[in-house]
Amino acid sequence: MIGIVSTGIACPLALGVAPTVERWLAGDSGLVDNDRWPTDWFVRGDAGLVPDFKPRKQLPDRKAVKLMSRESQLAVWAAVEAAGPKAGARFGIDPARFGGFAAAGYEVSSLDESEEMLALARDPADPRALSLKELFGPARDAYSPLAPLKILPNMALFHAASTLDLRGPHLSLGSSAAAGLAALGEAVEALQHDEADAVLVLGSDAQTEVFRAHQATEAGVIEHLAPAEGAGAVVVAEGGVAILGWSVGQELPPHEDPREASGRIVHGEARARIYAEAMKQAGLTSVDLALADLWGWPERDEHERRALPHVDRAASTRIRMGWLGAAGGIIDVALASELIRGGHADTVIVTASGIAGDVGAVVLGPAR
Amino acid sequence: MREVWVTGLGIACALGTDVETVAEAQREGRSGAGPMSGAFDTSNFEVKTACRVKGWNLGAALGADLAAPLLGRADRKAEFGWYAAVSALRDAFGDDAAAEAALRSAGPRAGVHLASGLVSTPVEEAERDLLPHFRGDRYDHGSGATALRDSSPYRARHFTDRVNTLIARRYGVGGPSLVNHGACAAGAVAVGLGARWIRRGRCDVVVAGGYESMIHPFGVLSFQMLGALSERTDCSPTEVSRPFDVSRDGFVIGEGGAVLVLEDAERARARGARCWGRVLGLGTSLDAYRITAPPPDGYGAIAAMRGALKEAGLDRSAIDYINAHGTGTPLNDSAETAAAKALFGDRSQAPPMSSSKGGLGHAVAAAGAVEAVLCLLAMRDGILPPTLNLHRPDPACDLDHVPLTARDASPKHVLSNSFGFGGVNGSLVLGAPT
Repeated sequence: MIGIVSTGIACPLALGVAPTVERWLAGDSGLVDNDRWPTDWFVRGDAGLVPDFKPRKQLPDRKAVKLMSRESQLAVWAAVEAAGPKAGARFGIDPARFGGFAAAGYEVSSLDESEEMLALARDPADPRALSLKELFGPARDAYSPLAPLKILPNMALFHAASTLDLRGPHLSLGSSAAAGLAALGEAVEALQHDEADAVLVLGSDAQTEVFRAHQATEAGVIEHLAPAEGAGAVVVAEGGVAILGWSVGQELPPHEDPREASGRIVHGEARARIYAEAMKQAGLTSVDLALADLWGWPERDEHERRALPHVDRAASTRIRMGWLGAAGGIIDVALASELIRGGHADTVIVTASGIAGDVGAVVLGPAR
Repeated sequence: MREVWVTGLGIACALGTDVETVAEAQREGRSGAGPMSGAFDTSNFEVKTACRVKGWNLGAALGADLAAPLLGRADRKAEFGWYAAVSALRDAFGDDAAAEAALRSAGPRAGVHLASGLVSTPVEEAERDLLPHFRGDRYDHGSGATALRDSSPYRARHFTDRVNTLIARRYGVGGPSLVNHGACAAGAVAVGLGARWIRRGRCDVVVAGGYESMIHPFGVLSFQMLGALSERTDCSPTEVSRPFDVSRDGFVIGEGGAVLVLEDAERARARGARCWGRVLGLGTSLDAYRITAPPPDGYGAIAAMRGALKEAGLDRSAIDYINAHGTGTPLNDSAETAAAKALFGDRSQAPPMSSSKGGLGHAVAAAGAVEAVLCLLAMRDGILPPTLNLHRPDPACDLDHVPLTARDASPKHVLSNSFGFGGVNGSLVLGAPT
């Protein structure tokens, strides 16, 4: 039975699997005052920030850290916890048979890297206009040649793969909140079809980067959930906590734009179908626990609860950790795996949905 | 395992914005390169050449109703993606209504997998959304946030799943919808994985492809700083991109979008659909080496090609032609040649391997999908596409690279390579219609 044999978590509750589980069981919140940037103009002043994370001290290759965005740094940390120091050696698998599938949050890059360049690229005669002469002159000279590498969308996977020496199949998905669950499902298929013997599945995001927070605000997320950062990593292979079922699909997004929508997809109907499909694959009619797509927004949460008739107990990492974007699904899967491993639940359904309307569900349980 | 037919094609690239124009350009060995100054003033920039989509106007291309969701509300690359998707669906099903009926009836067994490139900021957006909010050398987030809140188009402009969402809503796709961010391999992986969804029974129809546009100052600046772009100015723009040539010095940036409608062959046959060709296999691998350079022996590329052949159930001897990644960078072309020789043997044994990027440029995330379309057209037209501007082959690139002009042939099985920054490799095996 294909399952989750190892996990890594860097999330607002804690850095590391064991302290994350401990704080989760204690009912703690990972939300703190956002000290990354002034928030007096922002809709909320809290954020889900990974505590005690010092990349230069805690990541294996200190030199490589300067090439990494925040989400890549978090991804590498989680990946190393799940599969390090070298994945093939740790699990006795040929690196060419060890894949890397990732869902990485990538919408708008951090301004930190380009702020100085933009400032220098302004037209001296009109600072509201860009001067190509300045951009291709002094601004370029001030811009590190390494900076563009930080914003390539598959960099979280690259850094994890090069750190762990993963040479098998790859998949790099973004940037939806359900992308991690889709990546996990694809990893299961990769094993079922003998494309790999193991796959590291990553989810990482830094919605705390200020422009992403802007964007999530405009999309209607941040009024309900605090911006957050984090990464989850799981090694999918034979054995471990069983992946009993998974399903992904589409439903109409909650921020429907009448100019775009056909109006014929009924919100909520698809979600229930997708969850039911995962349960059907699992051969279950009920589960002990749902790590569900609940936002603390009654109207929306009612929707989610109606789609989950198979569960009495539902909890949400989003409310206690914040909006983790593409990282959320795999952090939840890693947490659910550890709850099962620790005897706190026998079966768990993890659900996620992105603001573009994609929905996913994974059902986990003990190895049969 | 089910067979996967390609029943619809849509494309916008430097060679044209309809399938037959692109096919003709490929047959005749035309280049889509031109001065980059058509996009912006390059007088202070060393890179002068680009492969742009000429005369692009989404409204004119699609009509007002279908263009409306994106006009002024998305970036150029999303326009290419949406245009290619609508074109492919019309090609597959006849018109928009029939396409909608087909996808909606498939419901959760219809999927979308598109490759999308970097989110990057064009000049006009920088001037509107960023520069007015600088106070001294620092960006004032409070001022910027207020303005962005009042700027409704901003909300959706940077969502990279925007085209996926549009397809899902407009045509009623209820199955998986993924955005692939696998860099320059993304387009090939999106097509190959979309085909797997059908082959393995998860979907009956999948809209798969990729789209990209980075021909604006910030976009090309990033590639130039990485040393990836040709800065050649001693020739015509059409002669700058020189895959496998000893004088190659980098790639020419391209742009565009390509979408393939993939269908379960049985279903497609039953409805009398045209078959452009078949998607037979995908192989992917990670280099775990360097961000911008392949390992010299090309082990990742070899693994990807081998994986694609395995999934296709073909022996290497069955491959009639390889469409190379062939960027025209010094490192890629020699490493790719070495990888192909390691798998297929030397020139006397290996199939011809040419690069479309001599005339097409490198369309980055879209490249794999665009080149998959070119491969299907090559099989239909009975040619091996040429490598343009290949006058003096690099001794390290010593396969038959089909220099300069297309060659008459009857390729039945082709392999298309796409390799990307970050050490991601993807290879597709495509087959002619049976």
